[in-house]
Amino acid sequence: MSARTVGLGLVGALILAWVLALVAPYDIVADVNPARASLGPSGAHWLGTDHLGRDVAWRLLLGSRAFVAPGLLTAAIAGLVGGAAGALAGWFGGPVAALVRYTFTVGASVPRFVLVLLAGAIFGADPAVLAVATGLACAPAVGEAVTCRLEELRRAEFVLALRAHGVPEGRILGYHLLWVNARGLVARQVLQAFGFFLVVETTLSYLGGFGVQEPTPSWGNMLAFEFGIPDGNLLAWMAPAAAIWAGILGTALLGQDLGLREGARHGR
Amino acid sequence: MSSRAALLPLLLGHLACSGSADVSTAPPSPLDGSWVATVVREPARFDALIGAADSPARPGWIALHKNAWAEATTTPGAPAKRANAELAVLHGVLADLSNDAWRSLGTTWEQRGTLPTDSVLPTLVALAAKDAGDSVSWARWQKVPQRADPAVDSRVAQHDAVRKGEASLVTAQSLGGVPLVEEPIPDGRRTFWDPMMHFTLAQAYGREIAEGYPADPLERMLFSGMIDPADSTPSGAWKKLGLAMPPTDDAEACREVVRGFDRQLDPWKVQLAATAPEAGKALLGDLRLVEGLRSRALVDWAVDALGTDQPRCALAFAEMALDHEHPRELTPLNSPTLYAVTAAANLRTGRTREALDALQVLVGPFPETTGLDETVGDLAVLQGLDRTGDSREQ
Amino acid sequence: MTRSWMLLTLALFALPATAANLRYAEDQAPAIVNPLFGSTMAEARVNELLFDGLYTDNQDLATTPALAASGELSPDKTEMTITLRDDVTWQDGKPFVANDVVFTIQAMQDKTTLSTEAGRAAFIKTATALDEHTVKLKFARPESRPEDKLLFKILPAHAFAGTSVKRTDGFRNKPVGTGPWELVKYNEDNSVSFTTNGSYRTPVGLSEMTMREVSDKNYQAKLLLYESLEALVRVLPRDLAMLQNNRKVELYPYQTNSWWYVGFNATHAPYDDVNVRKAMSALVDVPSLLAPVGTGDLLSGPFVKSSPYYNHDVNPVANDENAAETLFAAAGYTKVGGAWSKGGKPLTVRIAAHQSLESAQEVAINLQSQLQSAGLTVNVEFLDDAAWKGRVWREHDFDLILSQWTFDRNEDVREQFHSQGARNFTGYKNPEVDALLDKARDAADPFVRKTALREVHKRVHDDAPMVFLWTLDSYAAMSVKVKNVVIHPFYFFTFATGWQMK
Repeated sequence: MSARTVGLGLVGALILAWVLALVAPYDIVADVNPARASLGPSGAHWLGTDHLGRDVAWRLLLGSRAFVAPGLLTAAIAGLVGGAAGALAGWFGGPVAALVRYTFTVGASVPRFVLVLLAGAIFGADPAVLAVATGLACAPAVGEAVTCRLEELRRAEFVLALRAHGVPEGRILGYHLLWVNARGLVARQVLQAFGFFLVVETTLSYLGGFGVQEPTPSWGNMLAFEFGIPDGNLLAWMAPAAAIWAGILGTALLGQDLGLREGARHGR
Repeated sequence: MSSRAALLPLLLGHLACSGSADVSTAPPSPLDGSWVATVVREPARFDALIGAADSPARPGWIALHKNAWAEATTTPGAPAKRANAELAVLHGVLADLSNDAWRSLGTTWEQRGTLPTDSVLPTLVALAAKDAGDSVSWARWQKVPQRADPAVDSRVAQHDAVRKGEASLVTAQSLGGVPLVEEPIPDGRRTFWDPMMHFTLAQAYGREIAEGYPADPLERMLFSGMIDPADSTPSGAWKKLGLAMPPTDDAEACREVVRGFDRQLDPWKVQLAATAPEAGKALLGDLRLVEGLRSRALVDWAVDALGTDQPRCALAFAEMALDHEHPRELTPLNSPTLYAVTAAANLRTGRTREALDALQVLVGPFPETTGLDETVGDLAVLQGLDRTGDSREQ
Repeated sequence: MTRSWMLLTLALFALPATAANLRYAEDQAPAIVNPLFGSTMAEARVNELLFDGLYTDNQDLATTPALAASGELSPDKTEMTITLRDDVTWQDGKPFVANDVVFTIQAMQDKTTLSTEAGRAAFIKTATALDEHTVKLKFARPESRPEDKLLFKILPAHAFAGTSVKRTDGFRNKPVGTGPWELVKYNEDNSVSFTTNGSYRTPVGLSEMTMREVSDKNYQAKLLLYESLEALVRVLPRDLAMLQNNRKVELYPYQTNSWWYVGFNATHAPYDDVNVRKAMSALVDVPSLLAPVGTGDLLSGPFVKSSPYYNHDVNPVANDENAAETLFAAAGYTKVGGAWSKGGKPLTVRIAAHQSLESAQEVAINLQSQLQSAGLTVNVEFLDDAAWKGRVWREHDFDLILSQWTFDRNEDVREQFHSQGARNFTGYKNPEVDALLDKARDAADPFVRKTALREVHKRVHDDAPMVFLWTLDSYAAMSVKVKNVVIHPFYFFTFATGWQMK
């Protein structure tokens, strides 16, 4: 089984979980029932229950809501902001590139996680705020990659030929360079940004105080809530831990595959 | 004569064995001579003693194992005798606690300078002093201004009758559970309970074992804290185990004695389980025989320490005996005497409020302790009258 | 990395155990080290290490002089002249003098200080320094044993600009006391290091102490077993089994007289209506709330069951939906589409809980579920310490709070239930209860106090400013390397000068 298949499968499962979670008939508040605390897997509860008696499988499904949509927002912001800035820098060069590169360098000099935490502390730990902050924190990496690619290609012969044929500059940049030649690169970077947001969200909700708080499920807070409970249901924390691992692995494998394909296409 | 001084020889005399317990091989550990070793290595003897499912003796042994002594006294044979002996010790400890609490109530109130002059309290303090063998306090408190109350005189007569053997245990048991005297005061009323209750009960239970105490060694020792079959006293146990009790009331040194005991007990339990037949192993695990032996032995040591005026040691032994998984329940490991000695030791060391926690466990199963609980509570209130309390979140 | 591996790694590189460095864990580091503003048990414990009072408890829990050498009460019991020790210096080397005592009392009483300890000095009318080592206190009323009330901590006058002290005063960063330990530094990992006060008046067995913040109690227990800690101040009931069977650990039970509660904000609608409070109380299934937390005693009032003040004739409120419906109806609520509403507005409840309160999450989520299934809309917030102090203590900005009170052995609930009480967050007001609390405070006869407070129990139960939940057993767990352990049931470290480490 190839890395691509595994990666696609895992990321696909994530997206499917999220879609199902949007329509899931599950009430996170009403499901509390200490009388059925820490039960093992059964027909009624496929992954058992946690120590408040809540169904682990349903909460695992709903936990995907905590990061999929915000993660997509992160990816979109990283892609759009980084891609646009990188495109400008790569296309125009000179002082524009210098300014953009300088901004990227400053942004990249602060650890991304710290930037996200700062944003959460200042603007509140709402998932949307964290998603925007993470997207902006990941944008320099996207932008840098796009800048390098465009710097390499803007003086290529096919570009000169396109110009000679009267193709508008915007179409050369937007379609021929970014879409045809850099989309794989951008896709890889935004996938990494998505994976990074998964790490951010689960870490913050695991630590508590930031991110998604109980009783709203998140894989991070599920792990924190159940780990170490004596005589608890092991699946209640192993399942979210495995889901986190699978999500990160899936995005990493898919990103790696995209990178290899990108490299093959461009003779690397 | 104090309650304990009267009771312990009576009790220990009945528990001393006429012969040693049956051991089949020379013990490599001092614990090999204990009843636990006998039961685990020879489970058939245990089965024969306990009897079959429909045996009349069986419920009594089950109750004794659970420390449900009141229940055990209603069954035939040895378990009833054993339970009466335990109840005699329990009420002996409670009697000491009661005498301490009453005398403290009187002296603390007197020291504040606000002792009521029209109350029956000095009479009750005097009676407690008398039961404690404190003749000086007994004489002094009789001279303190007080109010005479016929209810007290009548109750004293009832207690005397039981103590002299002219009235039965049943009479003694009927004296508890309700206040002795209520005296109105401008802002309410004072409710006083019976200070003599527990000493009387101790004597009455002790009388129940005066004749016909079990002769069979295993009947005498099963589910007890006896380490050395030849010497059932705590000092016998320490000698057998090679442990030395500190001469002073040094809690840390006493904890070290328990740790020394545990250092012998832990590997011995493993070795016992490894060499025992299957049936014996099952008994060892299911009935938690070693844990029970340990707990009961430590309670015996605590009672002894209280008797030798080492309350900090008593408290250390009791705390280390407690099964913390069920810290407020009577269980096979947490006996009523454990809580009684914990309460008594706490009171002796100035921790009146902590004594109430231990007493609270006894009030439900032993309604006759209600009066003692209220009296110790009154003392706790009195001791805190001039204080401003502190409170914090979490 | 999972939290446990992170912590294990931390433990490996953590402050190593030196011969006499006792490392103990707190759920949350003290927010402030200044006895004027201490509000949590963690703060009380740190204050016990750093500061002294005029008097303290000895190991028999009797009042004994500490900074005071002796005290003389006037015949009419309205004045006390205290001679102070003349051999005490502050940890910054300056001498301890009478003016420090006067300053402390005035700062506690200064209304602009807003000290959480103001109530403890309320009985003192004036404090005057007669000379360098003599203080005269005049009392508002005759006092039989004023030394029993003089256990609050004394602060150095020279370290403050005046008696109006703010929480943000720099003293908190470098506190100066006369206690057996001094604060060395606040470390980056939220731990706090202490070292012995070399000029302390008695020998101190432990040369160093470290307080470590470990918010997860289960990890605290594991760190103790891995020998990365020597002491846990409060062990969760569910961790007892793990620790009990380990011969390297000693368990010390102690009585904290603490109880959990859900408090209503009676200062605003609809919780100013007793029917609403009682209705919501009847919706709570307390045993079900307790089940995931552990075992404990269910309560019907503001005392623990073993307390002499507990009124055993008062039963805990029963979980009864029918009774709740009747009460809601009496308050003018109707059930519309399954939700309780009044005037077209559904009843929406905000429950605030402290983040660091052990098991608060479980209880709050469970409570939310119970109330929501009964027809209320419920939101739960977990507040950090700063938000809790602000919203609950100062602004009373909440509908319901889930919290826990811990009392010393005097179980003085006046501050919580008297209408003038500084800790009366719920805004509870009942003049009859005020009168009973006053009567209890002024009682010279223990039976009068006991009767009055048992009546307070009943009235408070009936007025339902709180749903009284339970009390849990308290244990400390210590490594067997720590010897001569005697624990003060409230302040924990009062006798720690005698502790030693092997």
